[in-house]
Amino acid sequence: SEDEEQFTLDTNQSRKLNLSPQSGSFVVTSDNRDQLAERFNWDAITLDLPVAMTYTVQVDSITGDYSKPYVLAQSSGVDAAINYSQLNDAALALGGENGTSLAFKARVIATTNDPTVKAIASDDISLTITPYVGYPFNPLYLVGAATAPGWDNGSGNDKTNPALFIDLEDNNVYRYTGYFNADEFKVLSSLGNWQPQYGGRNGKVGVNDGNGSDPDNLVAPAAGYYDFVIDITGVTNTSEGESSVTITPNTTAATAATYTSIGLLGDAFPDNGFGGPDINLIQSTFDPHQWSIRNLVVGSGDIKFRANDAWDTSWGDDTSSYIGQGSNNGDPNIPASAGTYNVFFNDLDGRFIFIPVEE
Amino acid sequence: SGTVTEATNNLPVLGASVIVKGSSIGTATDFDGKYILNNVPEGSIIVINYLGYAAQEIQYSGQNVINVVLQEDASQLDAIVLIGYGTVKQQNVTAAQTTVSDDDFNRGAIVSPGQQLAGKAAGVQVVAPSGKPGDGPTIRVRAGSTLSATKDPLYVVDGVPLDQSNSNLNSLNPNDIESYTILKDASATAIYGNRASNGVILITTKRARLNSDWAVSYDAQFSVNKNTNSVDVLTADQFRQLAADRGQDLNLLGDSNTDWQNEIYQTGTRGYHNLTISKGFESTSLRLGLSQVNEEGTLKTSDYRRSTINIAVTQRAFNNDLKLTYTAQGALEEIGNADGGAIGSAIVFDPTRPVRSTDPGNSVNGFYEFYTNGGLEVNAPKNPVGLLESLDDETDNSQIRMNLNANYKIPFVEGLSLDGNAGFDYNEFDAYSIRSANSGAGFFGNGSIFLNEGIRRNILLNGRIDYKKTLDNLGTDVEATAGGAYQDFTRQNTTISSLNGALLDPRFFPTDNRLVSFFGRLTFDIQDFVVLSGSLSRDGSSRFSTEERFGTFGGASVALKFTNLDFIQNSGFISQLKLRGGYGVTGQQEIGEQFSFLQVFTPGQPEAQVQFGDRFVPTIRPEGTQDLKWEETAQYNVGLDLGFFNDRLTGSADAYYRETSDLLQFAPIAAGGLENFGIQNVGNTLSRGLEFGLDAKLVESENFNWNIGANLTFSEIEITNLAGPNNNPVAVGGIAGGVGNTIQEWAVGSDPSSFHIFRQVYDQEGNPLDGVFLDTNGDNLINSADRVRYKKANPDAYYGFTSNLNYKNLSLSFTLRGSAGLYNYNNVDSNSATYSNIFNNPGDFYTNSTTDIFDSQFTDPQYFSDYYIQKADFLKLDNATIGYTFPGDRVDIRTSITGTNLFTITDYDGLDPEVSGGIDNTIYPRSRSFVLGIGFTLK
Amino acid sequence: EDTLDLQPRGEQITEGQLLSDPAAYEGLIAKVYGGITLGGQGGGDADADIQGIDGGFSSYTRNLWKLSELPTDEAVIAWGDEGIQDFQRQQWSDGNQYIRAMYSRITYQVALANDFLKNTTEAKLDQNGIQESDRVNIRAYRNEARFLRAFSYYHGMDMFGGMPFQDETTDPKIPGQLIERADLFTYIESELLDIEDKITPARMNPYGRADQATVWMTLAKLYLNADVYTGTARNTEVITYTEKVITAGYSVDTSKPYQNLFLADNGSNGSQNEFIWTINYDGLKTRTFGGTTFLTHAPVGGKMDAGNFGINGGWAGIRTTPQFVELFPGEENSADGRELFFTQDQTKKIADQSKFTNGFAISKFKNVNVDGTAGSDPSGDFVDIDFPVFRLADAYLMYAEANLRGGGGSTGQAVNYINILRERAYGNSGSNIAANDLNLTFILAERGRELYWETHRRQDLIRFNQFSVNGTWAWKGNVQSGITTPQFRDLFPVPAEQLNLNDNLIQNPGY
Ligand SMILES: [Ca+2]
Ligand SMILES: [Ca+2]
Repeated sequence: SEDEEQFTLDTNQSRKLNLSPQSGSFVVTSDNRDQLAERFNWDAITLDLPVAMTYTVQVDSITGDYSKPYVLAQSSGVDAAINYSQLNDAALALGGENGTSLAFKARVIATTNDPTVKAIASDDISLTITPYVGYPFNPLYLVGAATAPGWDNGSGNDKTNPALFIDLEDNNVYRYTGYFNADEFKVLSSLGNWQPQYGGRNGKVGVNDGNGSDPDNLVAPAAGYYDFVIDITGVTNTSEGESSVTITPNTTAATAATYTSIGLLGDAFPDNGFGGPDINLIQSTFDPHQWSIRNLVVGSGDIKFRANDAWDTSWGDDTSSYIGQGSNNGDPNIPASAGTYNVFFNDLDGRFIFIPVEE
Repeated sequence: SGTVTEATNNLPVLGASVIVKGSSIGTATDFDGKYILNNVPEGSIIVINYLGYAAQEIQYSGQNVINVVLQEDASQLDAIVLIGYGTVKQQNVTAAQTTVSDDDFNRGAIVSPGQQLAGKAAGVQVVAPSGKPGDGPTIRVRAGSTLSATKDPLYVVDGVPLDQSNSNLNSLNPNDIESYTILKDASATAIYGNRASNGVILITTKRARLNSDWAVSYDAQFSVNKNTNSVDVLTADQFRQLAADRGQDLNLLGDSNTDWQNEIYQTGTRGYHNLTISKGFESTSLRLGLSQVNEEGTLKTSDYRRSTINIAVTQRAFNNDLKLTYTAQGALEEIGNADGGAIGSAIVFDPTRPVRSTDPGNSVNGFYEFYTNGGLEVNAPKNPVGLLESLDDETDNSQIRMNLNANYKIPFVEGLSLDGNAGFDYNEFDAYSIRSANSGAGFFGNGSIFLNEGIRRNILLNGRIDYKKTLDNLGTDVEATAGGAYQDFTRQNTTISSLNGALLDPRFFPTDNRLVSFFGRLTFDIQDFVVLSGSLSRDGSSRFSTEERFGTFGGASVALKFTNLDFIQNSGFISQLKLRGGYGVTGQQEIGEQFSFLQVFTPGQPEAQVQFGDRFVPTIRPEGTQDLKWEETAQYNVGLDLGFFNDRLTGSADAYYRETSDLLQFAPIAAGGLENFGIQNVGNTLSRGLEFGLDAKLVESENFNWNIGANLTFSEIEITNLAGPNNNPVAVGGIAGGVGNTIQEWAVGSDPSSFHIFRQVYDQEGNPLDGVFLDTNGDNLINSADRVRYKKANPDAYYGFTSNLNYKNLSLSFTLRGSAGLYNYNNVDSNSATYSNIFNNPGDFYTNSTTDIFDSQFTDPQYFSDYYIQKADFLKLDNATIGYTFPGDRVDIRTSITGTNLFTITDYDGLDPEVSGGIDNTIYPRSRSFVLGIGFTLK
Repeated sequence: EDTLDLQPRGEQITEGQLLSDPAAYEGLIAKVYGGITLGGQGGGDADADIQGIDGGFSSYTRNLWKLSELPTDEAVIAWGDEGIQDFQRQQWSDGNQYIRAMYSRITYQVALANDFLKNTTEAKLDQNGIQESDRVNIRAYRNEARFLRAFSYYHGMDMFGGMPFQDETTDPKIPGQLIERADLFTYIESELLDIEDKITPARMNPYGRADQATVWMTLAKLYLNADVYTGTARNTEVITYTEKVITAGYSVDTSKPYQNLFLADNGSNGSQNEFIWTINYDGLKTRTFGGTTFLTHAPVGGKMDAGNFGINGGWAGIRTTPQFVELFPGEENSADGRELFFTQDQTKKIADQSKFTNGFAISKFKNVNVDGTAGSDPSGDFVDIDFPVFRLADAYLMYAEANLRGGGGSTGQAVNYINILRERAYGNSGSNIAANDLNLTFILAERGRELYWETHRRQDLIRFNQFSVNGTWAWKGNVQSGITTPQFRDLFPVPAEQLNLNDNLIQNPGY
């Protein structure tokens, strides 16, 4: 309407806006993720005309300028209840690391539907957040007559099938160097269930996630040690994607040293420490180079593997809290993440994997 | 024998009646003012009469030559004007009424009656018809006061009230119309009680005079019609630029440059022929009018053809005591309807696409159409030219209307006469609409067929007794009228439609209703100073239950004829002064439903069955009933008629105040019954108005005459009560965009055409802020609770100005017309000009927009923003004519050039500010015409 | 006076003509069913029953769907029709046209049923000369009319709390007295219990007609939500009535895809064995823009090929929220066969509610037969899909929930029932649950996965107190991340229009 009765809004108004509380410190854990961390609140803004305002709580790094803020909450009201997982997402998106407390700043801005109306921002408040990162990997397990458990998908053996080791560079690549019978096998993702299952298809990897048809069995042509590598990139029920699978005889394993015991120690185990005693893994009866321990409670801190209760032979890797490959060459400690795990270790190539036990 | 001339200019008078008083001997003057009377008995009195001039009586004493010079009647107050069921001397008119006759009509190739009236009378609003050939204007007398019942006035053609639900005036050739008399106030209309709430327009067709020579006249008009303007949409280049600027998928653009509006419109033409033959014998007169119209519309594939015949026969008998008048109007119409959807489609169809294409992946029947995923896109606009070409749609209408009137002055009783009418109005129509299956629009349903044929019949019988008596001792003239009327309406039609290419069973839709009326009127003219008039009617309608069937209506009015007082007579400059006042109550029953009081059941259609097991069962719906009664309108009117300088300047002013109660309103019903909405007697309105009319004879001389007329009307209407104890507002005014969205609201205290909107908030530069509205209830949410009423579509005032100038054989005339204080909702902009309308479509296509997108910059549709409520005041030069007559001995030749719709002055952004109801969606544009007229009269 | 006594001619029939024809009563009861099926007496909702709103918008099922799904995590809509987006934002007002239409539809159903009952009393049948032999069917229809009335009152109680009360003994022209929610519960319960053993036994009525199992199912629903309606839980009765339904002979075919339940031939492709009661549609004979026509067209847009849905084009309206996507393990790649997301060129997040491509689309309702051919309407406008009001899967889930809520029954049986659904969903028993997996959180999520877009979600979320003050999903509260809303949103407002017309009504708190 080109009428003098138009309502004109000063698009450049300032108002005082306060975000409360002024500060807060939050430690995210696997248990408190769904719990309320803080109810942020502010006062409603009234411009010189009554228009609907939207409030956005933004978080940024201490040095940031909110040019790419993390939006913690939006509301048409005057408060926002935030739970720990939301803070966690914010902290991780802004460079936070698992278990490390880091300071951030936050503010609330008031806007209208049209961005040409200048946003009204509160002063910054400070937030300290210690984020928590969940388990980032998708473990796979062996099943089949060529392997230790035979054709038991875990439901008959209390889920003791050996885990594959995950490549540090490419998490879609799984490796397993060890002993196979001259027989067939497959790869499972959920112990106790037959699907999803991986196997061969058209020279690559196939999967049945439950809605497809089963892939072919994989085959170890003769009894002995093999390097088994399976890359499941892009595999779906109907496509083999960019996958590949190889099973190559390993010529050195048969003569490799075998150890009497392999144990875990470090300050992640407050009762043991780096002084011991070692928490011994269980040696596979099928392949003496495969070691595992179940339902191991781990605190936060560092961990190493060592053989024969001595530091002569030890493995570690600080690339990840959950997977790695040691080289028995003054390796760094493993930065443990507190939790309960099934741990698998292969002394042929020093690879290990910590798989959290679901409650 | 002799010659009759008039005094002012000394010109011969044509058609003056010369009769021997008390006998059947009489004649009329010819073109030269000459007359011959034979066998005149000596001693008799010869009376010479001519309308507008004082009658003269001359004693015949054997003179051979009697020349008469007629003096103009000082006040014209003895002129006779029509009223409801009768006539009255102009000076005794007590109510607000206006007569517009032939000389004052708008000029131009006017096909539809009513348009002649536009701008001519205060209190009469004529909204010009759209440009669609054969379309008629919308006429409102004192802006109808009802909400859901009809707002059309009652038309009475030569005594036959037309069916208000189908008053097809197009069957009348405007050229055959002598005059319109508009009865505006209730004291005048109450005698038509049952249908009079929206005013009454009495239409009189032309007749021949008794004792007149053969007259043959022929007129032809040829016109070219061009659209004045088109909707401002983005050009192909602007469209491409916008898509690029907005980062849109440029693969969805074509490489053509198509002006779609250019593609669907053309220059229209119209030919119009009239032939009139008339002759008056001693006791018989005959008039025959024939006309033919042939029009090609400005929207391609639209056309209109009409032939009319008009016959008027008057027969006098029994010493002129009996007058029989037979009038008949017949018409054959053929309306070729173009697909109106092409108009909207031409606005939004992507201008980068070609009209024609042979690519099977992007065309149907050679026209470019949009495809998505290899299939024709059902949601995309269809090719505008393809829409026009694929539809074959015609309505044929044959109409015959006739009336026989008998008026008998009973010879034994002085002043007593009988008057009766038998009228018959009948039409047959036959329409078809066929969409080709091989077209974008017919693609999915395998084309479509719709056939509709039927009749409408209206039978009238009425009769009345008139009695006039002068009570000498009281100095009072008394006139009394009593009568009755019966009218029966039958309408029925049969439709056949198709489903997926197969014809469905015919459906038959009859509607009947009947009206009876008993009426009477008593008028006293006391001492030639006070006129008192009262009328009463008792009316029954078959639309109401027996309990509510009859209503009583009536009116009373008074006029004070100051003109006749000595001080006025002697004042020198005041030639006329009359004060009028009246009050009346009228009724309304035109609700579109015939039997709402009866429980009926409606069977379901075959496409709406319910499946029980493997059988499909047609449903039967019980309908709710409503106990309706007459809607009543009470109206007060006061008026003043003035004349100055020997009536060179005349004027009138009227004020009215009107309350309508028990409004027949389509309104919600409390939950619980079989209907959630229905016509009910709920609600009241209050309307008021002021009307001014002025006529001036600026120049009056032998060779040069110049008259101007002006009128101005102020009116307002307000709802004072609605359904329910809390008067909950009712959403009205459906718009295009979304489904079921409305933009107006009825609410107590507001004009019924008030808009109901969000208050848009603007920045300092006056640009609307996208999606920012006033949060009127302060809850920091914007929802329907924040909509407020704002502005209205009804004008505060409307006016007309007319000038007629004659210099010797040259004539110049024009009519200006305008309205003020009205607003439109620009639905063309609101439904196209947003980025999401353009780019966010359900399929692989973009749609065009008006250039308003550059102003609003709206992302999503904001249908309810007052940004789209735009001031629509306008002034239009409706027509201007230059005419020249070449007089000859045997033949006069008339020529004229007329322009219509010559200019519009308005601030309104849309195509045309004149929008019925205030919602400007795509209309068939009104074109500008240039009309060449040529005619001759044989003498 | 007599000259003004005219009689209707043409299609409309007067009362005297109609009620003396024994064949007419089937048409009258069909209308009571038709009121929840169609918009009016003509195809495509022409000659609509409900005024003041577009005919297609007035559809019972379409409004029920909008009010039950749009305010939840299961759906968002893109359109700009006034008030429609207020649902997903949970900010509707008492002027909302869809709320108004829903209210009118419910009360219209009550009026239709009342009218039927009034016209079919024994006295009235005597008066109209209906033979005893013709009365058997009419008496059966009366029970169904009472059921349909109770069914609509149940919707009214669920959505609006109290309602204006009318039955066959009240005068429909006098605005009804307010019946409060708890009293309405009692009324509905007593009506259903009274007709339980009079109505046609389970599975003995033609497909699409209500029977004893339909009554049981409605009773079970009533009892499952009794705590919400009356403050008193009635879970024992839920077990009782779901058991009756479960043992009545319906079956879930785990060998057939879940999708079959929502195809054009779902009335005959085997899915009907699971259906307890359906609202039937047909592309040629039962044509409406509500019902499944809406549910098929409105979710199709973007890169979805309308041809795959057996229709001529999508309406690009409804999608789902990221929070609903996350109910499925593996989200858009879930092994759960009930996951029917369409994701090509769709974002999971919803930045713009009005953009169809924001939010994953759902291809659940498809107007194609099992063999892939399209439904019966060659124009592709109207669909054949029957809408399952109640199906066995729902009874299974209700049984399990009532068991968890302490209503008794067998937990082992509950696990078995749920595993039937999961075996169909996954095509194998690999994702079956164990007894210790069964908890209320699981039930709510599983109800979402199994029954989404079938008009259950609003009621379910309210029962779990996750609708307003708890639970957030995209655009709830009109912010993208979603916020909680006040508890009063658990009820819809009484339409302002009705408050105005009926002084007995009281607005729900908060509005
Ligand atoms: Ca508000
Ligand atoms: Ca069906």
